Amino acid sequence: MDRSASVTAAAAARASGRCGRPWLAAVGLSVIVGLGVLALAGPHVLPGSPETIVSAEALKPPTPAEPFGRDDLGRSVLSRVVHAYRVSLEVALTSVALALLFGMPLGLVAGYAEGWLDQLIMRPLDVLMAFPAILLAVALMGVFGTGLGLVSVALAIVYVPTVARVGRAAALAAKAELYVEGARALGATAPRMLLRHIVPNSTTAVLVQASFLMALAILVEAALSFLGVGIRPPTPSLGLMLADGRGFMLDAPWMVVFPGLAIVVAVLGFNMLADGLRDWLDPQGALPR
Amino acid sequence: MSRGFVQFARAKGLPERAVLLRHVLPNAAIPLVTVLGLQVGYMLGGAIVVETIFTLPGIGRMTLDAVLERNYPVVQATVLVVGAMFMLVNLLTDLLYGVIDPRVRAR
Repeated sequence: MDRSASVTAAAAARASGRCGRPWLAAVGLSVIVGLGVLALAGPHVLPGSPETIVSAEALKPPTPAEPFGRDDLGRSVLSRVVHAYRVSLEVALTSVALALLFGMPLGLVAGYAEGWLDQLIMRPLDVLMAFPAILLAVALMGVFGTGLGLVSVALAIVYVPTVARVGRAAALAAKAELYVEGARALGATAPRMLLRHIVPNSTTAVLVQASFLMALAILVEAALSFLGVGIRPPTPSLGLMLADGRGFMLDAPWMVVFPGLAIVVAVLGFNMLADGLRDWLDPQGALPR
Repeated sequence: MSRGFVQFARAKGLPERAVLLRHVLPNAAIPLVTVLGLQVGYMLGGAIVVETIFTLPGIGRMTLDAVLERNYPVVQATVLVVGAMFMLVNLLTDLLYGVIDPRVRAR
């Protein structure tokens, strides 16, 4: 009795498109929207520049006027965190967009065509996948050099195989559906079937994956900048701030605590959004991971 | 845990420890091993960061130093070695499937 009641409830939740933790996506989304507004508007609203050096106020602890304190060169940590968010989100957005732009068509075509074309596209991407993300990014930065645009490109290269795999799996799954077969029977051409039937039905998987990748991009960008192969100083970056503050960790903990918290909040936000989206859009959990 | 064979093991009167170790663990182990295998890959990447923070002389720092010095042969070598390690670990996890679950063993 008890079980059948819960099964009915689950079925009802599934039918109405809601399942699991509907608040999760909402919380994640609001965190990200908040951060986005902060990153876009913050630099115009907040007083002070992230690059103004006030040596007299170096390592000053947080005060009401300067709630995050000042770093070893007397720069405002609050202003730097807000500007660094802008850089982080920019890198994350660009890299994920680039990865989608190149990975999706590759994956969809591979999944749709199968056979030798599938092999030709996926085998080289599998090779890329054999390297851990951070290592590959570090190696690519070694080849490209450092800088904001190059970090995005390197991350995009790291992500293309993941996106392509998701796209391929979605195309394979959609291809077996009756409506796609129906479209084929009606004489639809391959590009039309891909664009009209397979792409719209694979957006769920891609959306969730993109939001996981955004979280990962922020993390990897911070790691790269921390290691000195990412964003070039004096552009503020969360990873660079952590690296700068490391030497002053005991004397001026605010130099590392606030950038660190900033990374945590952003990554948590994107992860919650991705988890929530998956629960919400795909209650059966059929997404390829 | 709610599967029939677990209920049967309990009905046989097995102690809970034996039920968990003999019947639940082997059936839950495959996804566990998959995730563990992938985690090794992430750890190899994380090694770069950790080795830099704690100034450990490992392969991660070797890669990073080589990148910063534009010492390309060393970058190539370390990236290849780590890639090979990752592939070996993945091969091991795939082989472990057969050890854990006789059903996936090759005939």
